[in-house]
Amino acid sequence: MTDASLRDFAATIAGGSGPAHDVSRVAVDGVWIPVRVLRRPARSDAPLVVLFHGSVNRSAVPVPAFEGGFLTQATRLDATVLSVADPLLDKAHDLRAAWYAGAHDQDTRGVIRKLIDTLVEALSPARLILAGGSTGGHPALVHASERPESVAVVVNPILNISAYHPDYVKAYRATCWPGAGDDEPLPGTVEDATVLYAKPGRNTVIYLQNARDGHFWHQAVPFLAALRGMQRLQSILFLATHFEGYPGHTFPPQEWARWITGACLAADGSPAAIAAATATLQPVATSRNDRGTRSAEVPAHDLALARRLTTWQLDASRS
Amino acid sequence: MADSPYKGLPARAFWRSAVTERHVNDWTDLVRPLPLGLKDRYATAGSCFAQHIGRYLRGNGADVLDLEPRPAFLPQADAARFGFGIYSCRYGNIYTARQLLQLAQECLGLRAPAEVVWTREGRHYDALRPSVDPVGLDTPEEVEALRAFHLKAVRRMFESLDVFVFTLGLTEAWVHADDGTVYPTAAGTIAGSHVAERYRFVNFRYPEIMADLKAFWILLRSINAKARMVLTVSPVPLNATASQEHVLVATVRSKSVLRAVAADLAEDEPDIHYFPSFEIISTHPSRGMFFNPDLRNVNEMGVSLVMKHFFAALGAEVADVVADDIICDEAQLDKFNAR
Repeated sequence: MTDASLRDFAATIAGGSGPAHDVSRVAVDGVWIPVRVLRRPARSDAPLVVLFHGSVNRSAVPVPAFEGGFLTQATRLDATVLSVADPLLDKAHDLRAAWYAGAHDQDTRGVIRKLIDTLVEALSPARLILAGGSTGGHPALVHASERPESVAVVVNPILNISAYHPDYVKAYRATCWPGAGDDEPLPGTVEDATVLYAKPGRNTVIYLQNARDGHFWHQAVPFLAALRGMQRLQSILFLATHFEGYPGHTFPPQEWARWITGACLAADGSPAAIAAATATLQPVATSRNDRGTRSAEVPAHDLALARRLTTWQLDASRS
Repeated sequence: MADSPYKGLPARAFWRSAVTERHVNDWTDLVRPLPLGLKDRYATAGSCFAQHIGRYLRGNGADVLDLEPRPAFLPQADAARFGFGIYSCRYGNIYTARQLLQLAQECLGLRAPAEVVWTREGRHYDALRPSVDPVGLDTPEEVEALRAFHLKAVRRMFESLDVFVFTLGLTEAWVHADDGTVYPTAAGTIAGSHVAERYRFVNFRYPEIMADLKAFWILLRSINAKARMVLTVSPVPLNATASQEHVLVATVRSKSVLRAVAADLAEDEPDIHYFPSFEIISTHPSRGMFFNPDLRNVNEMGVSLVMKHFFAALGAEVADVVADDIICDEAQLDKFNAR
C-alpha cells in the first residue's frame, strides 16, 4: 500500500500510470482513505466506476476491504474502476459496518465527496457510476444524489441505517458516536438515504434487489413508498429478481457486473438506455448449482468437496 | 613432485577418481555435511521437484511443518488434488524467486496483488495458486477470503520454521502488466484467459533473481532470526518456453542462471546452503538414466538417489518413501502443444 496526496493520486490515475501496488492510502483532509485500483483503461475519459463495500466479517476478511473483485473479469467493461474502503472501520477491530456515514470526529461523507469530485475533475469521465451492495449501497446512493448526471447501481442496499440489524447499528453508534443516545440524531449524517430521493432529483438509480432478501420489506419497500407518485421514479429502475441458489441477502456478482457494464456502455445515463445496453450483454448463469456454461462437467464429488472445504476454512478462520 | 595447490586434495576433488571410476550410484562425499538435523522444523516450497524432498523428509521422521493440514473429512486420495500435504502450506508450486518474494510480502501485509481471481467456466480460482482448488470456488469473494486464511498460515510458517527448503524451478514467468504480480501459470492454462495487454512475459535474469532471493532472505530473517535455508535447483526441464528459443536451449539458460544464483548466495550467506539435486540427475555421468522416457520427469530411482545424498549430508540414514503423484501446474502446458 502506498500513501498519496489526493492531488497526486488523481493525477496518477488520470495519467494512466500508477504506483507499483494497486492499493493506495489517499489523504483527504486528514483522513486516510484506502483505494484499490481495479481497472485503469488507456483513455482517462472512460466512465469512472467507484465501488463501496458492504459489511465486513472481521474474523474472515482483513481491512481495508474492497468491493468489486468480480469486475476484473468483466471483459466488456472499459472503465476506470476504483474500490474505496470505509476508513471508519479502522476505529474498532470488531466494527463491521459504518456506512461511510461519518463519526463525531470524522466527516466521512465530506471526504468521500471531495475524493470523487477531485477524481471527476482530473479524469473528466464520460459517466460516473457509483456502486455498492448492502451497507455499501448507502454511500453509493448518497453520493449519487449529489451528482445529477451520475448513475447508482446498487444491490440489496441498506439505505436506512436504523432499520438494519440492531447489533450492527448499535456497534456503529457506540464506536463512531460515543455518548450519543440510542435515538439521538447524528449530526451531519444521512441516516436514511430515502430522504435524498423523496424530492426532485435527476440522477439515475439502478436498484437491484434479491426478491428473497429479508431486508426487502424494511429497506426497498419504504424507499419505493416514499417516492410514490413522484416524477423522481422515472429516473429509477427497480428490479426485484429471484436467483436460484442465492437466498436472502445475497446477489450473484456476475449479474451486478453486467448492470455496471451496461451503465458504462449505455448511449446515455437514462434507465432505459442502461437497460438496453445491459440487454446486449450475455446473461450469466446465476444458479449456484448450474453456474457457468459448462458447470455440468464439474465432477459432483469435487464440487461437494470444494464447497465443504470452503466452509471449513471460513469457519476455521473465524475461530 | 613439485608443490601444487592441488597436491593433497581428496579424491572427490578429481574427476577421474570421483566420477570416471565410479558408478553414479556409488558417488560419495558429493555434498559437504549440512548443519541441519531431523529435529529441525522444515518447511518446503518450490517447483514440482520440491514435492519429493518434502515427501522424503516426512517419510523419514523429519519434523516437516504443515500449517494447512488436511481436514478429516477430506479423503487422503483427494488430498493432493486439493493442495493438501504437498508443501507446508497450500501455495501450490512456486516456480520463481519473484513469486516467493511476493508471497512473503503479501503474507506480511507489504503487498496486495492487482488481480487475484481468475475464472473458468463460471468457477473462480486463486490466480496465485490455481491448482489447489481443482474445480474452483463459487464466488470471487470466497477466493479472496480463503486467500486471507492461507496467507495467515504462510506467515505462521515463516515465523516458526527452522529450515526453509526451496527448489528453484524457472526463470520464465507471466506477470500482471500493472503491478508485476507473478503467476505460477499463464492465464488460460488452468484458469483465466490470456489478454495480451494485461499479462506480459518475463525471463528473469541473474541480477533480478539474486535481488529477489536476497530480499526474501532479509524478510524471512526479519520475522525469524534463526531461519536457515537450503536451495536446490529442479532438474526437471521446462515443459514449454515462451522465450522464442528452442525449449532445450531455454531450459539450459534457465537452470544455469538459477544454479549460478544459488551458488553465489550459498557462498555469501553462512545460513544458506546449496544441495546439488540438479547435478545428480541432470549431468551427463548419469546418462539420462534418472529420467522417465519423456526425458523430463525424474524417475523414482533418481529421486531415491538424490534423497540418499540429502540425508547423508544430514548425517542420517534414508528409507525410500512410496511415491505420490506429483502436482505440476507447468505440466498443463503440454495441452497447448499442437503436435
